[in-house]
Amino acid sequence: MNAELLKIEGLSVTFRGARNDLYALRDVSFSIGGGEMVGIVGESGCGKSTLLAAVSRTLPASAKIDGRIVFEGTDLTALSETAMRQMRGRKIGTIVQNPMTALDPLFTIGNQIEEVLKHRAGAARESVGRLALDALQSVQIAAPKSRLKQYPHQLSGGMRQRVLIAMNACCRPKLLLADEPTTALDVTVQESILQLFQAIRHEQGASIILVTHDLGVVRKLCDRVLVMYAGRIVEQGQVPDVFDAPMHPYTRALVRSIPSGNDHPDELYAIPGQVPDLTRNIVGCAFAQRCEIATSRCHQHTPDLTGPDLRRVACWEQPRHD
Amino acid sequence: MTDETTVVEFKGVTKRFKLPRAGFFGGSRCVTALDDVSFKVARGTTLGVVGESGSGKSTLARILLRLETPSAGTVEVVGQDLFALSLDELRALRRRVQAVFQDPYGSLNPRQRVGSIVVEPLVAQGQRDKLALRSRAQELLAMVGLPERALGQPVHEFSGGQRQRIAIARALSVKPELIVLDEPTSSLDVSIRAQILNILKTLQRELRISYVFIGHDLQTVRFMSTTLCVMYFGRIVEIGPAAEVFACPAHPYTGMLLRIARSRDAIVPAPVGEPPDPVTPPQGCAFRSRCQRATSVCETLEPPLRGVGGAHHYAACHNAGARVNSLAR
Repeated sequence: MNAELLKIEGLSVTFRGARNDLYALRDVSFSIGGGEMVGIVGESGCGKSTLLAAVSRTLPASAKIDGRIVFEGTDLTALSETAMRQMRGRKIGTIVQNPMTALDPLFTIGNQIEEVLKHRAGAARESVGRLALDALQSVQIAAPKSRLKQYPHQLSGGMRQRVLIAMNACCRPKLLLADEPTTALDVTVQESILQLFQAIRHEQGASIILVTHDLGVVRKLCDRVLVMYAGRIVEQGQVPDVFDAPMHPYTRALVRSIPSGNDHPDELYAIPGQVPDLTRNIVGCAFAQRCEIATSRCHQHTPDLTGPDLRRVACWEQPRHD
Repeated sequence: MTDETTVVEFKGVTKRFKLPRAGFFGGSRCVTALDDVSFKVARGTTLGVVGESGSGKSTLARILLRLETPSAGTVEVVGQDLFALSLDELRALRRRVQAVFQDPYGSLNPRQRVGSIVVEPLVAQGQRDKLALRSRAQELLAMVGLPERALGQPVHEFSGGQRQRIAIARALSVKPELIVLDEPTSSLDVSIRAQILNILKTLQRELRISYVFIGHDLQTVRFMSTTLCVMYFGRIVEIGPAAEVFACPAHPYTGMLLRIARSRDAIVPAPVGEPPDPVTPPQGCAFRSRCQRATSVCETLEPPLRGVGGAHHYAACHNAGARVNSLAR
């Protein structure tokens, strides 16, 4: 692994509510090396999107943030808004689930890419037209010249996501945050978008954090995976290790509950119960209520994320590594 | 003439949507969302429909619910011509056909209490006996695995998975013979998805309900389906017994979907391009622009659905034959 690019230490995010506070992230720590592709998986409400928003500092004002987010040696939580704006787009790119929310419906694709090139990538005024064309070509959009003159609504969902990736890639960010980038797309389009992520990483050496609920996408694309549950990381490790030999009961259950298509069971494995209420202070392991092997200790004490450097699990019922 | 075990029959159903004129002097344009679609669903079985956005699968569901009127063709539901029914007859039919939609946030009134939601179809059918309604509501919640106390709670207190259970309970209230499921688990998390799919399967076994299950995830649709129908660009490109279509896909598009679904560790090399523009449909086979095996005949002649291999297995491909088996590997 290359030098550390992003290090998150003891990050907690609490959303202040009128009636009660919501503890979205609870003491999350991990780091990402240069050029590394890391997947974050978990169900809705597990905190994976909050984590990305914390890194890009786009959380709403009601969020209270504790802990440190160190990017290239700078603590992002301590940065001024002006300085942070310099980071966004230039060094830290973002790709969202619905590209329509990131593209302006009133401007042509060409306008928007040129704007990014001029103001963020620092390209010279006379070269932006050619660079915009190159950008569209690099994400394999057919007939890029005519596409530049079109508006976002004239493009398909997959095409819009390509445009968004092109806009991000032309700034050559060090870190790309992708929040469910392929969830809204058809499977055949999804594969080609995943290829673009691979290309950006190989050609520009960018680190990518990919948040998704689709384990299949992480398996195909990422080096490392973090599994989150109720605001905490419960397991992390290299992709093949985690998927082929999951250690945390939650990861095991997730992997089991996907229909494989090859064997054809009468019933799918389903995790009983549901995610805990995040407005409460959870005592013990958050998964204990749904866990098949939980003991009384699990209900009373929260297990730490422990293990050898890259392979860690937060479960009392696992072999300890300390 | 439909026999007794057929619950749904589509015969040559076509749906065209008219588009606004392209400019003041432009001619009228239209999009063919569904093109000559025919199939049957037998009682107690599931027809799974897969396809990309724009393939016509949701139009199919909307026609089946009589939310759209086909431009051509007929639809028979439990032996009755769906579009020849009077309003009274249609109301009677609604007892036998229900629907569950993708978004449980949009399809349930957040302020309404669960107890009144799940029996609403019964009330619409004229049931007024409060006690009977209440005990039916309790029964329905038990069937979908929700606690009895949920009866008095408003919908906004429930999660997506729980809401989808409520939507299923509502559909079950009138003891329908057919439920149209339009991407019922697409907005749910994996662990919750498995719960909902299991509930649907159990209910089908116990109550002999037929399903038309629409989805884009091949694995999920396969898990549910007896018959699998693959759609592309408004047409059925392959239809047959689910196990057989999975084992030997005859259409290159099905083969492509299967390769993607089966490849766990590697990205499947991108299929070139996207589906063609529906306003200016191509001549010949609509899939040929993305097909590696396309020949000159594919450019001129639209391939008809014809039998391939096993019984009731049809594909619309000029090159379809038993040998395409290798495509899925």
